[in-house]
Amino acid sequence: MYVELKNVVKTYDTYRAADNIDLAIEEGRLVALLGPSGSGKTTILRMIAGLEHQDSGDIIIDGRVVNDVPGSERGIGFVFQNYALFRYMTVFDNIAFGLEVQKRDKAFIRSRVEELIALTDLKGLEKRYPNQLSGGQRQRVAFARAIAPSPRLLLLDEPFAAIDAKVRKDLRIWLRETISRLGVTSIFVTHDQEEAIEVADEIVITNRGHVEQTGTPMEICTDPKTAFVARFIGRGAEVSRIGAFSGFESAGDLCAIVQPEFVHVFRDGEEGAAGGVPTQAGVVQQAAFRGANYELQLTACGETLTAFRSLEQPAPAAGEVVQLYIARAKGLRGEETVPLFNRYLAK
Amino acid sequence: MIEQKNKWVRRLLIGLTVAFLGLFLVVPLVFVLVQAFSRGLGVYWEAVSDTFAVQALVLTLVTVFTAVAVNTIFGLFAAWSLTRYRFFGRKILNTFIDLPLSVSPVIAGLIFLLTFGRFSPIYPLLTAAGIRVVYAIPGIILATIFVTFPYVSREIIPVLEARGTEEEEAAALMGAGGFTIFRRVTFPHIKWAFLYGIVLCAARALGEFGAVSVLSGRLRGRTLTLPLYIESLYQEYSYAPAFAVSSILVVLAILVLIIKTVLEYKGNKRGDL
Amino acid sequence: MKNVKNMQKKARSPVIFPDGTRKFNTATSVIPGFGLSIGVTVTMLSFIVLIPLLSMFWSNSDLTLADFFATITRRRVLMSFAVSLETALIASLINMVMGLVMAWVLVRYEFPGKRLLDGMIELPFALPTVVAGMALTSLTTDNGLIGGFLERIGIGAPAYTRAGIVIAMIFVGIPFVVRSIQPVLEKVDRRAEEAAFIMGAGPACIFWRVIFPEIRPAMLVGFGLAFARSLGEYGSVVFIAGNQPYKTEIAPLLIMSELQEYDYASATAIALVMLIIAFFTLFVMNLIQSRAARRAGER
Repeated sequence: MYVELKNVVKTYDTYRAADNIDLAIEEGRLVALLGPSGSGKTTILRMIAGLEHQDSGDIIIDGRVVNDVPGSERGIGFVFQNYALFRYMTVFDNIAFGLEVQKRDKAFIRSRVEELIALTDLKGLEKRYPNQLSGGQRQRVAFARAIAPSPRLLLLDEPFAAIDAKVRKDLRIWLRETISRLGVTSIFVTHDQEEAIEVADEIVITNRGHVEQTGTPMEICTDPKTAFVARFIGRGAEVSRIGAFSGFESAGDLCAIVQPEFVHVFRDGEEGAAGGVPTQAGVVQQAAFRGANYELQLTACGETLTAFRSLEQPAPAAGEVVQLYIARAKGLRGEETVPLFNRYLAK
Repeated sequence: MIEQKNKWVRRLLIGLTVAFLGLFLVVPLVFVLVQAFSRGLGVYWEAVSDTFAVQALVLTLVTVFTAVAVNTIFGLFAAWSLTRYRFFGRKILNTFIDLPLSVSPVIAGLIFLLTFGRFSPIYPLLTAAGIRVVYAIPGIILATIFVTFPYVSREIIPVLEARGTEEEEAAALMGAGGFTIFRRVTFPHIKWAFLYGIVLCAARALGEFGAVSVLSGRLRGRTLTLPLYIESLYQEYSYAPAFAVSSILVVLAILVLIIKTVLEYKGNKRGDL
Repeated sequence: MKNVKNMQKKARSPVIFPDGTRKFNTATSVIPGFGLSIGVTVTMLSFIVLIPLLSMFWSNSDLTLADFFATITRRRVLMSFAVSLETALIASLINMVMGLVMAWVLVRYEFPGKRLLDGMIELPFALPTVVAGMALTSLTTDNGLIGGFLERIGIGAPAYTRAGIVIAMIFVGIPFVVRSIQPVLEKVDRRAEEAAFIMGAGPACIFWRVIFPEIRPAMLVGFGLAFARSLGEYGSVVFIAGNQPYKTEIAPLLIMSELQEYDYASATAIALVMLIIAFFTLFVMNLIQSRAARRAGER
C-alpha cells in the first residue's frame, strides 16, 4: 500500500471530521474521495498533505509514518480547490516556484517548466498572470505547478469545482489521461458522483467522518455495501415495502432502493417485450425529457418509482397507465444492504 | 417619476455634504494659509526659517522616522502572525493591538510619565545610567510610537484576512521558507496597504500633540516638536508666525491626502479578482 | 530570544487530553515562521503598549481606593466628565447623521468634484490637531470670521464655550463615521432594493426597510469610534475650550493641569475613569460588529 491511514481521528471543537478513518491506497492508482459536503473528505486530503494534523492515528506514505513530517517533506503535490495560484507571479514563475525553492539549477528549471507547459497545453501563456487566464487554464497551471517537482503523490481538492460545465467534461478526460501517463499516485476530492465515476480507478465514499465503502466505480454502482451508499449513489427511489412488487415477494416488508436503470416500463401493447416476466400496473405521474432519455415518475403499489425510457420509444403521457417490472433492488437492513433480484429473471 | 422626486433629494444631500465639509474642513485649511501670509512674505520667511522652528522640524522628523520604523516592523510581524495562523488568544491579541486608538493622547503621555518618571521603580536605575526619558527626546519618541502603534498593522491585517492562506500553504508545501513565502507570495499582495499604513502612521506621528506635550520638557530648541512649537508661539500671541509654521504642516497634510488617494487607487486596481 | 524559542516549542508540541487524544495548537499550519513572528509581535506589544498601560496600576500603589473615589468625586472632576461626555455625545450624534449623509452622497451619486470630496474626508487624520484647533479657535472668536457673524446675528461666538468644544470634536470625528458606513453601503445588494421597488415600495420605504438595517451596525460603530476619539481629544480642543473649571474644562485638560501641578495620583485616577469609558465603548462596538458579522454570515 502506498498511502495508508490507520485509526485517524480529527476533531474540530465538537465536530468529528475524521472518526477512526482506515484507508489504503495502492501505488499508481487514481482515487476519488467522494461524499456529501461535511463528510470529511477534504479533511482527509488535507491531513495526508500535512495541512491539518490528526488528533490521533497514523498516516503512512510509501512505508514511512509521516505524522511528524512537515507537508513540504512528504513528497506530495497539491492542487487547491480554487487553485491558490500565486497571483503576482506569471504562469512560468508559478510553475517554476517549487523547483526554485529546491534550489535546482536555472537550466533544469527552464527545461522542466517548458516541458510542463507543453504537457498542459499552455504554450504562449507563460508571461500571463493568473487573472488573465480562463478557469480551465488556471486549473492546468495549478496542475503543472503541483507536478513540477515530480511528486510521488498528487492530491487534488475539488479540482473541477470552479470550471464551467462544458470545459469540465473535457478537463476530466484530459486529467485522467495525463495522470495515467505520468503514473503518479493521485487522490482527488469531489462531491460529484458522475465525476468520480468517470475519472477515478477507485472510489472511496465518505460519510460523517468515516469511510463507507471503497471500490471500483463499477463495484460502487452495482453493489453498494451500506445503506448510505445505496441512497447516495445513482438516482434511486426509496421503496418502503419491496415485497409488494412481483418477483420480490420473498423480501416481505424490507425497505429498498430501486435504481431507475432497473425499472422496465411497457406501454399498452408492448407487454410482449417483457419476455414473459410478470408485470404489474403503474401510473405515470410525470414524464420529463432529460436530453439523453425520458425520466418517468411512476406510482405502483402505493410507492413512487423513477424509471428511464429510451428516446426511440414513444413517451408515455402523464396519467397513462403502464405495465412495469423491477429487475433488481437493494434491500436495506439497518446499515447493511441486501442484493435483491427479480425471481422470474434469476433463473 | 421616482427619478424626478429623487432629483431634489440628491441636490439637497450633495449641497449639505459640500457645505458641511466646506465649513469644517476647507475654511480652516484656507484660513491657516491666509493667516500665514497675513503679515507678508517677510514675516512668513522669518517665522519658518527661525532656528527654533528648524530645530523643531528636525526633532519632529526624527520622531516620525523612528515611529514609522518601529511600527512598520511591528505591523508586518503582527499582520503575518495574526492572519497566517490560527492560535489560542488570537482575538484578544488583535484587540490589544488596537488599544492605543482608544486611549486619549494625554493618557498615553501619562503612562510613560508613570513608567519612566520620578515615581517609577526603574527611575533610580535610569538616573544612575544617565538616561533621561521623561521631559526629554526619548519620552517624546516613545509616546509617539505608542499613539501610532497600530497604524501599519491595521491596514495590512484586513487585506491578508480577506485573502485566505492558500497561496502561502501552496508555497509552504513546495518547501519554501518563511521569508521566501513572505517576500514572493505575501508581500506583493499587501504592498499598497503597507505603504498606505506607513503614510497614515507618518501623518499621525507628525501631528501628535497631546502625548508629547505631557512628556516634553518644553525647552525651545531641545524638546519642542513642531506642533508644540506652534502652540508655544500661539500662546505668546505671535499668531502670524504660528500660522506660518502651521502652513508647513498643512502642506504636508495635503500631500499625505494626495499620496493616500493614489495608493488607494493603486491598491483597488490590483485588488480585483 | 528565549521567549521566541519557548513559543516555537509550544506551537509544535501537542496538548495531550485525558482521553489520550492529542490536540495540536498551531502546528496545524504548514506555513513556517509562527514562533518568530508571534514572538516579535507579543514582545513589542508588551513593551510598548501593555506594560506602560499597566504602569497606571503599579506606579500608584499609594493611590488607595478611598483616595481614588475622593478624587473622582470632586466637583471639578465630575463636572469635567460631564462636559466631556456631553460635548462628545453631541458631536458624535451630529457626526453620525452627517456621516450617513456624506457616505450616501459619496457612494450613490456621481457629480463633478466627488473624488476631491472623498479624498478630503481624511483631512482631520492628516492635519495636526494643534493647527486645526488654532484655526477653528481664530475663526470662531467674537472677532473671527464665523464667530463675528454669529455674534452679530445674536447667537454668540462659539469659541470658549461648550459649542466651541463640540465644533472641534465634530472636526476630529468626521472621518470615523463616513469611513465606517461607506464600505458597507457599497456592498448593499442593489438587487434587494430593486426587488423592493418592483413590489411597489417608495424610496423612503426602501431606505428605511431595506438599506438602513444593513448599515445600522456600521453607523453605530462609526458613532462609537468618533465618540471615543472625541472624548480623548486634546490638541484641537485645548485652544477653543477656554478651560474654565466647571464650564468648559474637559477631562483630558484636567488631567493635563493635574500633571502640571505634579499631582500624578489625581491625574491617574481621572485617566482610569476615562480609560474605563473608552474600553467600554470599544467593547460595545466589538459586540455590535460581531453580531452584524454573524447576521451577514447567516445569509
